Amino acid sequence: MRLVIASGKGGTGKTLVATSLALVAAERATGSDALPALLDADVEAPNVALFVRAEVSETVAVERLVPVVNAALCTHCGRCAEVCQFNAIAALPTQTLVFAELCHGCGSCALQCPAGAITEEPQPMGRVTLGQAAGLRLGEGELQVGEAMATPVIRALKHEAQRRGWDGEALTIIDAPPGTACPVIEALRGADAALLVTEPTPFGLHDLRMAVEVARDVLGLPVGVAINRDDGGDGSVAAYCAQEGLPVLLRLPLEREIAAAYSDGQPLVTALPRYRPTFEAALDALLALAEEARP
Amino acid sequence: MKIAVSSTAPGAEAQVSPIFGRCNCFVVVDTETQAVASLANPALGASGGAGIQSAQYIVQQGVQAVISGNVGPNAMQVLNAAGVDVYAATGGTVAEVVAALQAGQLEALTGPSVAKDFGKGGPMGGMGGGRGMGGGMGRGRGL
Repeated sequence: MRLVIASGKGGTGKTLVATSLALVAAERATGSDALPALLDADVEAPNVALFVRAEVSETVAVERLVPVVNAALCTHCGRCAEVCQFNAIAALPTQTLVFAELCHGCGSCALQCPAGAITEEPQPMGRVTLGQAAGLRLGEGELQVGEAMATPVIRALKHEAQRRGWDGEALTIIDAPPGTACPVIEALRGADAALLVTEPTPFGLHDLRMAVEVARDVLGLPVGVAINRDDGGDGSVAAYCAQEGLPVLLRLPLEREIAAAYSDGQPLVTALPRYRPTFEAALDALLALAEEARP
Repeated sequence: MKIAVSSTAPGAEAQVSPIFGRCNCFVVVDTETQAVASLANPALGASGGAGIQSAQYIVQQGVQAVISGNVGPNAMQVLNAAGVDVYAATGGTVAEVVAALQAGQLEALTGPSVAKDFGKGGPMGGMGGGRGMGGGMGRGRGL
């Protein structure tokens, strides 16, 4: 069972929600073999480890393939630059330049080079860290500074977790990156349900709509909503959810204590145990939503 | 000598463009024959790597020098590798900046004058509303 916590808008509380949901799940699973896993897929700025301290057991390098031109074989025909959809190659009369930071690693240039002058070589782009905390498995993807593409690191994170059987019977909770672009789609792909965290503001509503379009309409996932800093706002988020038939599974108030605990690196259910029943109910509701949709 | 000027429109009377990779047009002036050729920029609508593609295109035209308001780092690297001299011009028509170059009045650029994506506007194109200088990496995080 795989649940993804996503948002559209950044800073709405994905990590706040994901860490507490995972800790609640961990408490329940204590004693059984199948530990739940929490994966931090916000690879541009992973921060779950600030809240749930894990003992790191393994680090796996994530690499991407970039073309390397053998100048001795290159005939300067320009075919590589012509087929590159990302303008990552400049074919000049006596030189061929590769701009690795623009390369998406599609391999077209190597495939199309009539002189066989291009080979693809791995270049490090990030890493996946795997570890364990109390009753919980933890995985984190981290994109290397200067690298532009988050998606391959998220894919690698999911792959490494899956390869170790974390996914099987146990629950996996994924803390997705913000936005609605490729990295979010990669985080959501293969999920059993998504919890979209928003806030009761016009920005929150705007980005929630986009997140619903991606998670529910494009990927066909069962979707629930979490409203964070729920001071009522203008009521438009709740109205939208009612109109779209989206269940609101979690509401957290706009409260100084919550912000203070978060700033202090403490998971909400640890710092303020009175919120534990709220997260237990939300987890149950999200699991039920996922179960319902199963064939 | 063949000189390519990044410009806002075709023709020798067009204004020099403040950007290179995503300029509307390149006007190529042959100072020996006085021939003027206006070329549409093939990289104008590129989602990325516009500087690289337009610089490659300009090199293919066999020019010896480029005049532009600014040139970004990737385009600069391509032009340098191809041995094309690059000159900065802050304003004026194509004809005027070519004359200024011949009179030795233009500053030669040895490095990029602006950061990457300087001339990359929003979905409607053009400068102004878009990213401006500096790498806009903010994602609006925070609690």
